[in-house]
Amino acid sequence: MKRYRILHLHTGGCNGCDVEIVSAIITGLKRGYEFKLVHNPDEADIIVSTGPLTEGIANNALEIIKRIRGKPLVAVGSCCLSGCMFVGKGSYAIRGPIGRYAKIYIHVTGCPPNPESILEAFIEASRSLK
Amino acid sequence: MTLFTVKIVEPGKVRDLIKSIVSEKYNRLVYLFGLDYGYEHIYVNYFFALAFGEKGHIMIRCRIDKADPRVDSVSDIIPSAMWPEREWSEMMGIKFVGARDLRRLFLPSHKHDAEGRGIRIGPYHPMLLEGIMISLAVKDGVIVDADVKPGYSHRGVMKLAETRSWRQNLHLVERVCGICSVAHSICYVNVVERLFGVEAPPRAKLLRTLVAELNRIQSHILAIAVLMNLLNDFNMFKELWILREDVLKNLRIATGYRVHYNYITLGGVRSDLAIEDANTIADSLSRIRKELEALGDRILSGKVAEKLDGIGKINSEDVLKWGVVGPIARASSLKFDVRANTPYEAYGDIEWSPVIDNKGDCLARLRVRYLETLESIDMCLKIIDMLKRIGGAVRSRLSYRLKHDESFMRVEAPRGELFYYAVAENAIKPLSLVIRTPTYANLQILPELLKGHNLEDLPAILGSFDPCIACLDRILIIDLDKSEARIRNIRNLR
Amino acid sequence: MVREGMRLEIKIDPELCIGCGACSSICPTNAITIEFDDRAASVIRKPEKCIYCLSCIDSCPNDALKTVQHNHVYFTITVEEVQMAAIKCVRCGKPFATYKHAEKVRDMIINKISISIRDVFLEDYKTYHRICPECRKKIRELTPLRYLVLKHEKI
Repeated sequence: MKRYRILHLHTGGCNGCDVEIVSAIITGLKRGYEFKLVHNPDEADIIVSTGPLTEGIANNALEIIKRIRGKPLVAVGSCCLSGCMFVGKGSYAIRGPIGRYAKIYIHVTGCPPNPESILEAFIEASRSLK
Repeated sequence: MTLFTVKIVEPGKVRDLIKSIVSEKYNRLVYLFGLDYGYEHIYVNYFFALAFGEKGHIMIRCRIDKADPRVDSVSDIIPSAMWPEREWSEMMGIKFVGARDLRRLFLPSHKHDAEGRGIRIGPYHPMLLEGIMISLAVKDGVIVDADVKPGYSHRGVMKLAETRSWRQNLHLVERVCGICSVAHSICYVNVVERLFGVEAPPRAKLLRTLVAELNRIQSHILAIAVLMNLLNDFNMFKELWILREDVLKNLRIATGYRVHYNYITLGGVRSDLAIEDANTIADSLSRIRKELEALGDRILSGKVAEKLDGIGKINSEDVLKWGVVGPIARASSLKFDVRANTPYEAYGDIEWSPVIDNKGDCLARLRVRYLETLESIDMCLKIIDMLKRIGGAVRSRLSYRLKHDESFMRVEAPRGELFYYAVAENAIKPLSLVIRTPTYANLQILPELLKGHNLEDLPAILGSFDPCIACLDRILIIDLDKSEARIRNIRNLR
Repeated sequence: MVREGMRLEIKIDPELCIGCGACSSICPTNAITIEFDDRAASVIRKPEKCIYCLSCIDSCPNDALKTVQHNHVYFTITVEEVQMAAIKCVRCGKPFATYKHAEKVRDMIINKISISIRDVFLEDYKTYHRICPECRKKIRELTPLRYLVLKHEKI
């Protein structure tokens, strides 16, 4: 059983991707990978982020991003990659996708993506840790 | 056919009229909001449901000048009007004279919101799934004061809906919340169909109801699993989550997707359900029901249930005063279920009954959710049976002429009553869209409820409320000023 | 079509696409757009904005959008682009449509009008399809095509 620690950075999404991440983790247990959710940025090996970066949570999220330099960042969902349908005409509450503030290692598209795709992305990110 | 009655009054006479409406026990304020059409006036609207909707709906409207936008506050008569007054005073600049609390609700403020309070929980915390700030003042382990600040997931959906067409907004409102997305879809589609005066065919209504009940089953199982996890029973969380995966497999067979189903459209549904697939779903649901019954003892009378007994009691007068909806209201002995009071879609054609409990504490709420899940599984099996007998088209054509200017809809989402209201600009796009979600109504009572409880009871109470913060922070409405082409955004208000 | 589920990606077939813009006007997130510049028209698709609602596939008149199997994991996301020749208005010089779109519209109309006026229609269409919609309203010398067809048919 291979063990890794994951920090989930939630930046104001609709929770569809968050629910699929939990499904991906429980599927991963059956295949010999244990991805444990931690809440301290210094302990984590891999970072997962979901949601467009809203103005309300931007200050707190950017503080955490400063502490995770150098760890692979997996961006899950279309909101995280481009802001999806919350940017464009009439939008005022989105500070922009997280790709403007941090370097993304793997992108997973979809709304929300399948748990199997998310699990493959985690396994790819864990290979880069060695 | 009029959808609701409208009464236009002077701003000075609003309080007396509202006092006479709520003097009858079961008349409730659903929502309070303002509308700006781009001219010199703002319209303040109060929407009431009489006898939970069984006796009709009434909208009170008063017109105030933009130069001096003042109207009397009603938050002393109706405590559940406090949060709407805060929200619309920050978004539209309406001044509610005599309101006790007018701090910012959704927009970020520059100074610390919880000054003078002791403990701040959030927005990132292991106990919370999403971002919300709860501040508590604690003395000797007992909570003496509490405050809730939402706004961390605020994306501005109401304003975004003004710049897109009716068809594009269908995808936008689905993504307000990922766990209860079918309820938003059905509510929006019914609002637009009422505006155009069309109705979906009977087979489409059955299919919509089937998908809605499957969504309710997976949402309740998720709520119970999260509550178990908050009280440190991780094995139960895992077993329930794996059971929920089977429900999502059924949804995938019916619609092709797991979380956001691009299945319900204007006029009906997108594709039909073949008979082999319907039988697969029915067999799978019967098996899920047996497994849930076997887990019933551990859920309702295990060690987690002992921690929940007698905590967080709400009586039925407080439910009516603070505007609480959904399973929380039904656990305090009120017969309040929109599917039973004002039936819509196919709920009037099948036999079912809402689940009521009269203890009012956290264990009663858990029991209501568990029994509602079993009832929903029975409803799905009855619907699949009816699908074999009722055939026909699954989509009707939308006309291009509007029948009404404004319309509304109330449905029962998994967490309670969901309310939508729309004003049409033309047949292509809306002028404004107003959404009031069930978690908005439920969280207003949380500060009052927490006073007097121990600090260790906080996870139990929060879990039994089952908050969906993505639904809570959905909106903001500001209008384009047509005569001057100026957009009033947050930097210009207050 | 709806049953296939989520592990699929949408691709544009460059042979079948006519550059009509139906997909871009219905896309709720502007993931697929059509842009005109001096030399060509480009249909651009950005996978990071797509929500896989499949509305573009429903609305394409030529079945040029197809789904393929894909696992959605990208290290870098590339944008997909299909280009084709654009018509420039003879009066104002602005590019407004593509040649393939004009041919498709011509083929769709010509089967619905009677044989006796088909050559008149084709003659008028040759001038018509090189003038952009704004300029068409300003020119008086051309007989309106709709009036011509209505005189001989009952549409």
